Amino acid sequence: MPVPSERELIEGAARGERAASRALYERYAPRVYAVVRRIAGDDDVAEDAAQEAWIRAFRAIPQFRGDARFSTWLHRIAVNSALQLLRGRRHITERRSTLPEEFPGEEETGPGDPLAARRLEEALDRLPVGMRTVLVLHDVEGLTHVEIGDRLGVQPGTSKSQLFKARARMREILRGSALDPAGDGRSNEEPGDRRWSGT
Amino acid sequence: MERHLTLEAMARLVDEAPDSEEALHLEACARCRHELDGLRDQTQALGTLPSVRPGASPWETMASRLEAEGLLGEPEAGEVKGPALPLRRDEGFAGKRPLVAGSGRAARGGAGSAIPWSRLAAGLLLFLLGAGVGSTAGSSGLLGPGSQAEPWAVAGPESMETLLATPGGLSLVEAQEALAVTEEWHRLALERYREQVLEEAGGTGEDPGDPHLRYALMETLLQVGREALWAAPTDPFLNGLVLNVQVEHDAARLGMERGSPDRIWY
Repeated sequence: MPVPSERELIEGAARGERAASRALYERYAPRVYAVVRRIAGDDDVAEDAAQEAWIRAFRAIPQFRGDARFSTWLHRIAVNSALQLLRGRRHITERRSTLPEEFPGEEETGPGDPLAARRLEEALDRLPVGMRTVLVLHDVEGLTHVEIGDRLGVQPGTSKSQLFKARARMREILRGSALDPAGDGRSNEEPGDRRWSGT
Repeated sequence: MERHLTLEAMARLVDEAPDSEEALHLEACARCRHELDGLRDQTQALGTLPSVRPGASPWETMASRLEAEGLLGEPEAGEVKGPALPLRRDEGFAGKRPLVAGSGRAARGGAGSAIPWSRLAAGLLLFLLGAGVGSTAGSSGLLGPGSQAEPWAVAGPESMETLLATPGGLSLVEAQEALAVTEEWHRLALERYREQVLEEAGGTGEDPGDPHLRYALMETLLQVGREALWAAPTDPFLNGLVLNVQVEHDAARLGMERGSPDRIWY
């Protein structure tokens, strides 16, 4: 029996066929979960966001025309679902990360270390939601600032400044530094010029 | 005082070339070069994170959600239907589901095509009436529109599924007829309830009125619905009910939050 193409699976899912819907889901669910989990920063929120993304996707799939790749189309839905969910839950301030209180020092892990990816994921969870969203979309997902601006409804320049703040904050988290209690990457900066700090 | 580039400034230099002043400083400052290298490594590492991640819900769970939304056909031969629709762990999500007629396949005739408030009415009262529904539905008209009976006093955590399976109960046809009749009664009853809620909240059918009051009311309904679902987790009617209450609940919360200055930056 020939393996159905993605196009056939999409058409089948649009007709409500279970087998096609299941095949699409099982193919892309880990990908959708990955992006919403990183944006959400929380397992429970991510699970809801992923399910909502799939509901939206299956609801909209009859309108999918194939102008973009299905994975791109689905990715956009997933990101939007996560963002909308977070907007609705902005009262949630406590992160439920499994991150231990103390990270291992920077020198204890390095490229290729199996702990490195986990440390990065856990550090992402610790970022404020706005910074985390931009950092995930830019540095993990590879979107441009124009694309991020389009997704988030902000100017590309805003995306860029959030990204720089997020990278700085991430660096501090990863090295366990308390140099920047304000969390904006500009500790001890010189008045009038945000590029410089004095020690 | 020793001068260094801020982390934020160096984060920019991951993507952009330094200006002359920054370049001169980086040449001379080992500490800033080290930080910049660290930021570059970090950015590179983020880019190599795996694009998939374990933790997605199994298909069976998703299938239940899709069935509830009317987005999935009947199980094919040999395929097991999904388990009971799980409650989502936190509210605030179902409110994003479109509710207006004509949105989605469900609204074009699927399981989710009923008016939310009507489903809410039928589902909630079916639960609250519990076992009493089965024995009285087809006969006396005890709880018909205009009746002075107090349905809230007959509460019992029994699902329709259990009810209809009671030995010596109604036949299938009788049960279907009874269900249709009771649904209509309940729909009318909750329509009246809705009008009262809106009136109390200072709203109309178009304008839901005071969102704080609506939120409080929906919160109560949600708790009742969830309790019901604990007692009858496989009841599709109750699952639909809870999701629809969730929608109203979230809509009320969004209404309550609208205009608050404490918003996420984007």
